[in-house]
Amino acid sequence: MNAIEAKNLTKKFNGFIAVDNISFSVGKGEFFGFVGPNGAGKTTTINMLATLLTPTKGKVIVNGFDAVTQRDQVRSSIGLIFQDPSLDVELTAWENLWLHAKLYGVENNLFKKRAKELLDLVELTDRKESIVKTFSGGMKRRLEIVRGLLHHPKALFLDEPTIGLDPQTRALIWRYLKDFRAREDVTILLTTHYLPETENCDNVAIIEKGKIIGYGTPETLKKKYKQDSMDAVFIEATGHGIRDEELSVEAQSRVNFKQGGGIWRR
Amino acid sequence: METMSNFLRGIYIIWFRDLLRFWRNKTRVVTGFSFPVIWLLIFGNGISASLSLPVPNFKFVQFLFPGAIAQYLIFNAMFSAISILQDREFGFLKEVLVSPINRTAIAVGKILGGATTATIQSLPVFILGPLIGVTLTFKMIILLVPAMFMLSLVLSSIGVAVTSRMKSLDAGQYVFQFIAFPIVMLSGAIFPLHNLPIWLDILTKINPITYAVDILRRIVFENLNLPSQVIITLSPTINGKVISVGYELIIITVFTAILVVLASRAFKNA
Repeated sequence: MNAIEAKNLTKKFNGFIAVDNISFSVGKGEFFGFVGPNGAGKTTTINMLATLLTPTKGKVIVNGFDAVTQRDQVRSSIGLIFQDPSLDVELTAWENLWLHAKLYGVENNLFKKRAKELLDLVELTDRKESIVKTFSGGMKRRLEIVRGLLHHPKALFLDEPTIGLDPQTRALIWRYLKDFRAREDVTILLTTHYLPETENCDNVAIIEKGKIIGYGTPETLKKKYKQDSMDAVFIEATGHGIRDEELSVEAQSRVNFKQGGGIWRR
Repeated sequence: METMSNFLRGIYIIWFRDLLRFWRNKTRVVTGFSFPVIWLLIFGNGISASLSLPVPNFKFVQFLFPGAIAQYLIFNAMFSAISILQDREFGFLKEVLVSPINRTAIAVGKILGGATTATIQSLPVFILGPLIGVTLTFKMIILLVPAMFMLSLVLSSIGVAVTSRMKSLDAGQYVFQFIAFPIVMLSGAIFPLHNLPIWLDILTKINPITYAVDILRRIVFENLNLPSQVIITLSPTINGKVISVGYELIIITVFTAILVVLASRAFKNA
């Protein structure tokens, strides 16, 4: 059975088609990369997989559960790392992890053992009692990865995990992710537009204007587009134009409330 | 059983986080504690110098005391709900919403968190009151604390029901002033609710906070051997009859229950 199965997935926002009838599957334990220019529909797709958005059409099965009708089961079985930070910066790193463990019903002794192990792996052990406000962007991201893995998810979703980080930190994050996968056979799906990073993926899907326009291993994609790097493949596949930033979920839902402004959510 | 324990765990964790943040935030604790000092000392003493009630041996600060507690709770309990908008703005709300926690548990946890911190913040009034001449007995304190918690609970549920439907922190702060002020003014916390023009009278009676404030006042006054005349003139009436505490509790409970449902719904659509 595949870890993720998406069939004819479509999402419209007020007539604007963000994701247009895409289908794909990700095998258990696979490292899957979703790449595409800004605004292509990557975040929208990941939000539908993670139960945060309801698809307009189509079906998503994550770890054997339906992302619309079995939301809680899907939520328990995945770890999610958002594009924007979602830590409580007033609390310590350890408190953030503890809250997460409680939210997911992780038993206390298990939590302590797991948290120590994971903090060790991302080299944050000596900062675990620090208030998160004092962390750098890279440290916050590492802590979020620890948090996302704390409840032993079967699949980990990361939306632009390396965005805004320096090359050293980006390399470090990739190393951690590869380590985790080697250790526990977790399925990893991430979106990125740092193309060289996708060389590390088992399979890559190139998404453009809400459609998947290329799919395969980095090797087959390079052959198909007759290029020697993923960067070149990407530009060959999606063209040279500059794109606007994809709307965040909040922004998208704002579009839903009759054009921006205003006070009330619905 | 499994789902019930999940539900309670959800409430507990959301509530606990609010308390943790409260203790962590020292400025909030200090400014929180200093507000009743300012209110009772300056306003209480200032106004009692120029006004007096037509009851012998009854100081204006004594009348003001339950109202001051109420007013203080109104601001604290309602404004603590603003944290939902902060969480929305700074991302933590997403962490909660993507977790398998029941949406009603999120709303209830948030409401309890706001009510608890507001009650804790108001405890210094028991030290302060006697210092400025308010008569306080041990029995009063024992009765007042749960009553204060109950008032905070209604207020906090108003706050959560409103903020859970709002988009941004900015909007929240403006709308909140707009909601909080009339609620304070029309609750009997600032002026007695008798001999009011009819339109004001109606507004005070549909304000559920009026009944919670009245319970506070009765606790303070009924333990003072005041002429029953005083209590009757201050309490809300319907057709000239004073509403009993039992009915007041029912009104408050029903109102809070409705707000909990509204708030949970807002989180379901989040």
